[in-house]
Amino acid sequence: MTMVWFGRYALLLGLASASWAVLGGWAANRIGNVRWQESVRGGVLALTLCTTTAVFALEYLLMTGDYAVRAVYNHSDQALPLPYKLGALWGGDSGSVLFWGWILSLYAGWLAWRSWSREPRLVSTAVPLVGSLSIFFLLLSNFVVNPFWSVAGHPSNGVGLDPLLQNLVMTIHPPAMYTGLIGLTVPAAYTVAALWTRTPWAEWIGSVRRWTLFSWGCLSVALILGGMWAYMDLGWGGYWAWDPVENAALLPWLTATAFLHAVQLEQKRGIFRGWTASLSMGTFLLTLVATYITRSGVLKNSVHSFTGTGVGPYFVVLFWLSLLAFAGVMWSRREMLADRRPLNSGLTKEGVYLFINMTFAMVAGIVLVGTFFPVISKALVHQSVVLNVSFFNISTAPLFVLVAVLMGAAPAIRWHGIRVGPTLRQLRVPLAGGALTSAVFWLAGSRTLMDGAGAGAAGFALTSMLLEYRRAAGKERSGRRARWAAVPAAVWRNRRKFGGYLVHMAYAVVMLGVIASHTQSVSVVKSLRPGQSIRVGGYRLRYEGLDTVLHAGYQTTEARLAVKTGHQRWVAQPGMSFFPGSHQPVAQISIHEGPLKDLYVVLEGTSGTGTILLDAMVNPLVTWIWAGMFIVSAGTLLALSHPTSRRKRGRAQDAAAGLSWPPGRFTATEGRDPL
Amino acid sequence: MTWILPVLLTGAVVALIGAPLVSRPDDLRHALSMAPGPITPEVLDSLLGNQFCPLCAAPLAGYAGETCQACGTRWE
Repeated sequence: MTMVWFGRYALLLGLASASWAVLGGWAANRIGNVRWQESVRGGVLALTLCTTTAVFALEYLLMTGDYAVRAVYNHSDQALPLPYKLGALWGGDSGSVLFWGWILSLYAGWLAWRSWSREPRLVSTAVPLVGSLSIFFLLLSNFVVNPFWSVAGHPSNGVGLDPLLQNLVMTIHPPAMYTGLIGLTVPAAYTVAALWTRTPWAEWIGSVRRWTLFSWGCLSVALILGGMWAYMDLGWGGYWAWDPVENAALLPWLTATAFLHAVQLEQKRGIFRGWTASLSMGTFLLTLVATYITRSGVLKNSVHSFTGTGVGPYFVVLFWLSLLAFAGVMWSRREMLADRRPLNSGLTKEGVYLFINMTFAMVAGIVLVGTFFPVISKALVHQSVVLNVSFFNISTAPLFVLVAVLMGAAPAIRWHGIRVGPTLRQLRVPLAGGALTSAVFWLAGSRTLMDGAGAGAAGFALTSMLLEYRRAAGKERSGRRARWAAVPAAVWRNRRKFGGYLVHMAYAVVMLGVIASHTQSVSVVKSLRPGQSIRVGGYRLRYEGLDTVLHAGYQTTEARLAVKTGHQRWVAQPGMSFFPGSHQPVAQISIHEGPLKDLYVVLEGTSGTGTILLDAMVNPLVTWIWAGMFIVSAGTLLALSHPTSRRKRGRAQDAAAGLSWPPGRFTATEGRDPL
Repeated sequence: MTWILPVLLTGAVVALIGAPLVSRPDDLRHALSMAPGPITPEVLDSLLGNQFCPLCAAPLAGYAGETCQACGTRWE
């Protein structure tokens, strides 16, 4: 049996295992037979094993260069470096669907392996739901876009990977994106399972928060990595263009963010339960929308091109089936969605959380409508109207500013109600920080009202968060120890809270980077002959000549530029790479990154006489956006490392009495102590 | 490529799914936590499909006043 057939066999066996996990799980839960339930658990692990085997089989074929396999032929070639050969797995539809199914099965496997014994009733109901989605992806992988299908003949080489994807960032970005998007399936499955089994909210909402937080963190990193790739590879000097595919990934991030805040409301006050459950399920539905946008080609205005195999309609069917199922579960369990108490006032911490929720939901609504506007307008007026970047910027910017304001104000507002005097006293320093930031940005060139408000709000939020760290350190400090030395202990004591604050700081830092790079960027486009110079934003660039460099599999034409700023000198080499089989050259951008500004140089064109067309930009604070990625990762990991109250309770119970044995009816009276 | 890989994969899948169906359930914590209400002998019977000592999972003839022959625990 060849590796191709082995891969196909693993996919079929995976489908059988997933089917058992769903059908057997449903039957086992109906009849309450623990043997069957354990068998279902084994079925889920078998599913994970099979999809993992299929992925490794395809990776083996990619590495050994079996170009008779369609997925290998279409997305790899002999000259492709090894990391990109491995990454070619998700370079096309068939590999992506397999990769999606694999990540999903890893989540299901983790649920079966680790979470099942902790929350058996809930997980044994949630796992068949995740398994149902696995069946969907395995049906696609087996019968619609099988990556192990063959091409005609026996080609000795492949078409190769899209040159734009031959980038290290692009090797990391898709797995992070998939891990984040697919991970959001688990909270939705938990929510449905909890409602279905009528499990009290307090018993499951903590688990859902952790699953969502992990996925949200991955998605945040993936979104910024996507921006980084656009900035470093596409050569237009930006990182976010409100492209439909970018929006597709942003949508679930927005609702997941709202959900994480709604969970706080549930845990603290037991309010907005219907909204919280809707956000959990809605976020999952938006991951399906995201996949549909990316894979269907329904929106022709995207610069991304991942389409061509017609898997889009299947996602539409899955979306509507899931929506109907969610609506049915929520209707049948509507008594569980009743709030524990009403919201007394908007001027409370719960009011602030509610506003944050509503704001993120509004941004999601705007982005959703704006993204699908070509389809909506086509249906209404028979003309496809594409909304440009300005629509998204103008409509969402005030809302993002509002979020920063609420974020900065939240620590000063109590759960039960606002006390005006102490709140204003606590906000004095953050307000001063906001005003100072706004003034600095005004001096640097960000002079519209929205720029000033945005910079001010980000500065306000950042100062507010830093003050929270300072305040906690003050409480933690003992004796003559310096306040800063007490910060780690204070943070470690309440990792969940300070992890969240770190994420809020990341939001403010990214916001400052976005405002500065949008409003203070300068650019010069000029044709240069050897020996000529241009000046841009304090840099002087002197063009010295053209070089041709041969790489394995492609060739680059590079311009040599002597750059000078102050006492610093270096050579910048922007270029254009020519890949065999690719019609367009790929820009090799020269970026000289700094903490306050980047020099971003693109070689736009060359002539036979050695004249070049150069685009030189100075982009301020772009590195702050990338720094935001590290801060958000650190904050997410910090928050995840905090033990949940359920786990703490469980440990206390175990310490006191071993198992939580039900009293009365069934006790050992002699012999060894059973527990 | 030999047939060993698919045989191994099939064997692993069959073992993962089939082993719990034929082996004696010994995860009492799991069985009890699956129960919908208070644990009565009847509930435990239905969970385990048979009558076993909750401590060591050895077969018991009945619960009330029964002593497990394997571990010596007396159950009432």
